[in-house]
Amino acid sequence: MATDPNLRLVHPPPRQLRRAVPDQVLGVMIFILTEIMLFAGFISAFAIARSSNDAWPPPNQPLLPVQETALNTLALLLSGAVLSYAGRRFASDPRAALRPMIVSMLLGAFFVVFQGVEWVSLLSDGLGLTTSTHASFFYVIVGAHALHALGGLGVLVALVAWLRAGTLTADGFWAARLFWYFVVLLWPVLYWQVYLR
Amino acid sequence: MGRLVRSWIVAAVCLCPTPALACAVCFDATDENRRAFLDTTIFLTVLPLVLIFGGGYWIYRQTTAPVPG
Repeated sequence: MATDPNLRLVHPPPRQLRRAVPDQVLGVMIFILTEIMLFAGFISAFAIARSSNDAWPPPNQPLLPVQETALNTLALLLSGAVLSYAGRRFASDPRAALRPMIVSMLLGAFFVVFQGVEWVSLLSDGLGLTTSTHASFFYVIVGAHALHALGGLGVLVALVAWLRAGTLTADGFWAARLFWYFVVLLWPVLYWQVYLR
Repeated sequence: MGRLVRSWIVAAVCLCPTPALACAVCFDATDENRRAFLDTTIFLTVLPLVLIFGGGYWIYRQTTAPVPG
């Protein structure tokens, strides 16, 4: 079959797709979604265990430091608010975001260190992982959150280093902020469930 | 043969009754416990749907939003 030598294939112009969400942000969103379900499972199991016990927390164990942790909660919320402010500063002038990012990181570090001190104090008072069902849930739930806070803190440290080096991208900063907001906003829910109820 | 097996099954069910729990973790029959099971079932059912559809709607809005400039 002969072909016409003058025939040219004309491709339609590629369709311009609008990028809805940067890849990093989408990845972190999916990760957060799975983490929310993890903590939802913890909270549900905790609620079931609480409803099965007449005295909750058990009267013969050390009390959780409710007021001190309220102060710590405030520090973590403040950390998230300051990071949000850093995000707005970054949009206009990346260098201007450095100081609020450092403040946010220090507040996050304060939260993690305070949690560590609290755990050491509770352990020395005799509240171990196997003391009671309540104590087991306390260490597992708060410990899981503390691991996330430690990871988020590591990300904040890396953000400061990247910003100083001039390699921090807007998309990367957005994704990192999203994770820290998750850590920050999850904590009041856990505090309410574990410490106050 | 089939009739004999059926008879044995009926006899076993009738002669060896044990409490049948609705689920393996229903260890307490108090109202508070039943309420907790109900609440957490609703919570764990609704939450992933809200997250997935909420996220999907947000992405859809991001896609259809007018391009700045």
